[in-house]
Parts: sequence; structure tokens; C-alpha cells
Amino acid sequence: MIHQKTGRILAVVVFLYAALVAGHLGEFWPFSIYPMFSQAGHEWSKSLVMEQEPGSGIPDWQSGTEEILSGSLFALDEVGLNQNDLAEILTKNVVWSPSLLRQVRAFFGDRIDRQAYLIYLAKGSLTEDRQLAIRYTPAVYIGPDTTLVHPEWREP
Amino acid sequence: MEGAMTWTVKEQILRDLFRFQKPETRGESLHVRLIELLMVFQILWHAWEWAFYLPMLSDVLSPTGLANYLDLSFFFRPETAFLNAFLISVAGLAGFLRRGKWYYLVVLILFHLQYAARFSQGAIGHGTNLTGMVLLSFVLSDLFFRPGTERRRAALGFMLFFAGLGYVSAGVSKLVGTGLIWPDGGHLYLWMGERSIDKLSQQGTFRFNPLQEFLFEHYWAATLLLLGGLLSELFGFLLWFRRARAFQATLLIGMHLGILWIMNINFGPYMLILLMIGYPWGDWIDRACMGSLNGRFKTGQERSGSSRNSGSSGS
Repeated sequence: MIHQKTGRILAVVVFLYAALVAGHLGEFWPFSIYPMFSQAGHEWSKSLVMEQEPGSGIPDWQSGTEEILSGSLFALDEVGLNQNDLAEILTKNVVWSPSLLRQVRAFFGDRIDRQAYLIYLAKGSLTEDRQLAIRYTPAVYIGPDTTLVHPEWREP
Repeated sequence: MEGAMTWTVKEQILRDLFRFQKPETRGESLHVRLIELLMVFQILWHAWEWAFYLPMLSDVLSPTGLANYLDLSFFFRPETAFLNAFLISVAGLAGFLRRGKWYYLVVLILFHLQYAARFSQGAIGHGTNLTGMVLLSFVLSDLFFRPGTERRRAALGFMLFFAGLGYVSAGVSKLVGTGLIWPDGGHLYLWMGERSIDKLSQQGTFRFNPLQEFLFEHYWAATLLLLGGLLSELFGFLLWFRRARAFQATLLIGMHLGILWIMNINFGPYMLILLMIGYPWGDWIDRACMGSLNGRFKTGQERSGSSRNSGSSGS
């Protein structure tokens, strides 16, 4: 008898589980289809922040390999920001609304009053001989009085 | 014949998962209580961690869960995030101290809101999903089963079932998303590169470790490793069977350790939960404490009396 009751409860929960993840792109906490790393072999996009030298001026917006990175690497741990959140803003938004840019500036706290940062989009892919290739594109420049977006922003 | 076999497998799974028919030992009772303690700790930890993080955000960019229907941007105000974390803590402790059977349901809903606000930026975190399923297991056992032995048996059975289901789902997702070529070692190189940028961006420094260097040089090893991971997930349902459970839990913990060393992703809460639910800790506690635990405390079964015992084991 108790097994019948338990089986019914399980059936109802599994049905709810399936219905909720089916209607919400595979995610409805705590339910998930656990899709992480399910789509293998695709190019990926991430973000990388470089702290700019004072007076370094506006970037030339050129893409390239790591040689084009200007300034010194900035660790997001210093402002307590999760890398995924910044990367998602770069990779999921075509339109940079004023409020989104304000949020990006706010990520850097009061540092932004005295320092400039250049946020790069990093794209990784695999060459034919299975070598990793990463290409960087400057996406957003933020300084004390300046916020600039790549003039031909097309991501994603 | 086929119907009988289906019934037998289903019945076997239910018996292996829930063991309502077996008398509960003191070690088993303590085992479930320790899992509950771990679950409450993990929930409170993340609720407060996110309460400190949420005020950094200002826009809901990509809603998840109930955020699809409710505007949760008010969670970005510090007072809301902290108040919610406080309420989760109070309800979580009340649930743990057995003050009522609704408290864990309250925790589940409030934590869902905290999660939906935290992961409103596009990236979805899966670090708390298994903890959430353990919480759901306690919600179900609180609401639908009698307190004491029956509740503990039900809770442990549900969490084993959901853990197995989750891992199988993860394996199937990979086969659906990519197909049989998912374990190609080149895919691992891409993810290792992706994670190297994640670490570089997060911490300001990163170097591949010797194991990662070895995998970059040996394509066959990278392929074999991915294949092992995929099979470990697809066989996650073995957690449902008592005889295979410890073996499968060890495989999955090994997989998570591999993910930690190779992809720099720490699924610590998952490993701890697997460590707690995948092994017969109740038997081990009984053996380790044989004699010393006798008479120290009573299980719910003993407190409830013999009539309840016969009721819960009658099926």
C-alpha cells in the first residue's frame, strides 16, 4: 500500500518536473535537464577585462589574438563579480541600453572614478589540427567620464 | 509475462529505494538526520551568499523560473535579498527542528525566488539543483508521510531517485544535444580553453595543470575521459539499486573530481550529497557505535510504538 502511494507521488512529481522543464527551456529550479556541456564542439564566447593605463585614450576597436590586448589584466574577484554574469551581458545583448551600461559601470564600484577599463569579448574555437584559437574583440570602454561601445557591435 | 517483469523491476526499485518493509536502525535514523543537516547548511550558505551578491545587479536580463511571471528586480535592493535570506534561515531552522511540516515548503519557494533573482543575467548555475532536490525530498516526505521512520525512509528514497534521474537526464541531454560524437576529445580542449579564460578573467591568473597538459597532448585520453564521464551519467539510475549504489556513487564522485581537476568546476555540494546518500552510512554508524549507541536515544519507530511499525511495514 505504501509503495503504491509512493509510486503515485513519484509519478506526479516526475510529470511536474517534465512539464516545467519542457515549458522553461530545460530549467525550473530545482528541476533541470542539466544541459551544461550538452552542445559540444561549438565556438564559445567569454569576457576579459583589461585595466587601462592613465591617458591611454580611446581604443582602436581592432580584433586579433592576445597580442592586441592592451593594459593589464583585471581580476573580477577584486570587485566580487562573477565572470559568467559579465560574459553573458556581452554575449546575449545586441542592444546596449543606458541602464545596462550603468549596470556594467556599477560593477566596478568607485574604481571607475579614477580608472578606465576595456572589456573584451573572447571567442574560442578549434583549428583543424585540434589547436585552441582565441580571438579578442574590444567591446566596451568605460572610464571616469566615458562609456563607449564598439561602433559596429554585432554580438551575438 | 512482460507485465509481470515490469512489475517486478518497479517493485524492486521501490523496495531498494524506500525500504519501508525493513525496521529502521539508530544508525539509519542518524544518517538521514545528517543529510538533512547538510542540506539546510547548503541552502543557508547560498541564500546568504546571493543576498550579498544581488545588490550588484540592476536589470533582469534573462528570467528563469518564476521570474518569467514575476518582476523580481526588487530583489536587487539589499533589504529584500537580506530579508529573504533571513526568512529562509528561520524557516530552514524551524524545519530542521521539526516545528512543523510546512517549513521546508516555504524554504523551497523562497529559495527558488532567491535563485531566480540571482541567475537573472543569462548564466544559469547548477550548483544548487541537487541540494534543491534533496530539499524537495524532505518537503514530500514531510507532507505525505508519517513523522519518524516513514518520513526518513521516504526522504532518502526520493533523493536517491531524483539524483539518479538527474544524472541520466544530463547524459541524455548530451546525446540529444550533440549525438554519439559527444565524447570527441577535441570538445574537451574547447571547454578547457573556455574555462581557462573564465579563470583568467575571474582571478587574474591561470596555468594549465600537468593533467590538463597531458590531455592536450593525448587526444585518445581526452576522448576516453569524456566517454567515461558520459557513461557514468547514463548509468546514474544504478543509484536506485541498493547493491550497485555505492559503486555508482563512487563513479559519479570520481567524475566530479575529474571535472574539478580538468575543467576547474567545483561541484562540491554534489559530491558531498553523493557521499552522504550513496553509501550505507547507517550500517557503518551502527557497526562503529555498536553498544555505545544502544539506549542513548530512540528512533522515531521506537518512539511511535509497535503499532505504527506494523502500519508502515505492511506493504
